[in-house]
Amino acid sequence: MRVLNQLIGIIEAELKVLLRESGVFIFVLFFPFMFSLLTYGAGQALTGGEAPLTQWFYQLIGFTIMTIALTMSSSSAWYFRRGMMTGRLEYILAAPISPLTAVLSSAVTNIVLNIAIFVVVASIGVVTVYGLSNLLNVIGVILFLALALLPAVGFNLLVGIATVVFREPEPVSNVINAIVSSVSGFTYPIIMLPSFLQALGQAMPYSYIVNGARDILAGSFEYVQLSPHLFLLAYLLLGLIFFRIGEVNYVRKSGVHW
Amino acid sequence: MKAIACEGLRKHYRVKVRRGFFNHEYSVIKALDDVSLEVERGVIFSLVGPNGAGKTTMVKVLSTLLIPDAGRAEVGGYDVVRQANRVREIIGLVLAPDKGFYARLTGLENLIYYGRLYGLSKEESTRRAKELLDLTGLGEDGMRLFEEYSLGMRAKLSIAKALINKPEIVFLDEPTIGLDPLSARRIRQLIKDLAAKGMTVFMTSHNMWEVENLSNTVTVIKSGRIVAVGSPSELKERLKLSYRIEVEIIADKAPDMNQPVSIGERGYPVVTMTTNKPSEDLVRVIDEIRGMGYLIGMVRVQEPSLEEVLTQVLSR
Repeated sequence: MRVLNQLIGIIEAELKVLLRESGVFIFVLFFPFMFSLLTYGAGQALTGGEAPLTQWFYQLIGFTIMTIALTMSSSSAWYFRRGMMTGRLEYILAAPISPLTAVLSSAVTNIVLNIAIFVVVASIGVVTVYGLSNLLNVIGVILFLALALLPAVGFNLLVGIATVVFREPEPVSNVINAIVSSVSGFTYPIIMLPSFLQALGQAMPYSYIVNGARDILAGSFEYVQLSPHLFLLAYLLLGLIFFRIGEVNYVRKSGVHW
Repeated sequence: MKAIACEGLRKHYRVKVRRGFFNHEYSVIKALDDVSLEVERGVIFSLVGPNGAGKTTMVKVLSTLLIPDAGRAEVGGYDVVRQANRVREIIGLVLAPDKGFYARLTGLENLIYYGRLYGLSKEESTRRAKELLDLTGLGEDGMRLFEEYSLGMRAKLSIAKALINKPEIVFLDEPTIGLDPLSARRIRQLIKDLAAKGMTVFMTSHNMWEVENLSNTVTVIKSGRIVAVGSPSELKERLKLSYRIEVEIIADKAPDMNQPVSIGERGYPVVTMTTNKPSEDLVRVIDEIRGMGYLIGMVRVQEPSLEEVLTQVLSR
């Protein structure tokens, strides 16, 4: 009960802050439309032919999930960085709350907001491309994301603790974001990549998330596609273990002042 | 049971020292080096020392933020390493008076957030936050965004935050740093009020006047080691610091005395002396003046300041 109270308290505060920084919120909402239209238009211009709208939809969902992925792979890193710079992290660590609860609350806040953005973007995309009949599939994606993002939370914790150890949020999260963006099949199928990059993409949760989301929205999802996500839960386990190791061996030994 | 007790505390940092663009070496900073101290309950305890002496590290170890390399410490009877969560339940902390808050939340929302971290329900947290806004004099300013707060308001909010869980012991790391005189006075009054209610206050400060006026016990730390402990008056006595005494004589011209006499601000002769035995010397001078048939206009005894104590202790 106490943990739930703490969790809700942090989520409330973080949500208020995020919603008051509306510029970022609006950018994240428009980002998938801007870039998917750009790549769709560029593709048509380069090939000289008219591409089907499903190509735009492919890009739209890709960019939306990419936004979620980038947020999810770096939200802990940024949570730590902001916490260090504002001195808030030290107060959290001096309060009777598990740092894991605090970091997870922040991750949950980001998931909630990103899913809300996804619902808006995907609904517009689905209605435009498939018509109203496929709109209910958006609900299916929400349920799917609730499971599929769990490994991403673990991934998030690993990146977060790495930033505390190396004290370099930007290089750590930027490198990881660059890798995640290029090998996860957000805007092109990963089979177009060299085999070692394909393997890297398949070892991370995001290619499964984006493919699953696309298939659910298009009505072509099969339950067997859920199986990789169960294996990928190992990320969550690893994230929890390394987070604890990092907390004891770095956070509490070296401090978290900037 | 003591509010705080620690024995043989050690905390060393390994820091990188740059030697040119590519080369570097490591050196060890002894932030705390075999520190032992005890703090009674319900007192204002001040830890003073130069920058880098280990004051903030001490606060961070006692508030469970840092694990010491060696030694042990108990806060409120709980071990800071093995019973860290128990310690966190009973302490309040101010590390920097203007930090630790969400800029885009109001003062009230920030306090509610911290109340929730301590496990309070939303209703309890809101009620407590409003109480504390009134206590610290922020009142209606609690509805403004933190980013709009002045430094003084931020400092008050920090103290309010530290009290959200009704702590037994509060740690205040330089609580009045950078504040204007009025805001600093308000914070000092708050600190006095907390101690009057039975709370133990462990503070660090560079303001010796503040430390002297607030503290029951002062501990001087230098290079991670405790070099002096006592009440402000005990420390002065122990170091045999000199008092400055001025006695104004109602006379037209300076009488012939054993002490140097000069003309004071009001135009009367003033006997000035520096002594380690203020009571004896004052009585002797007054007797001498009266013996000569003069009246005494004014007597001023200036105590040695804690700053002098610190200067003398640190220069050893």
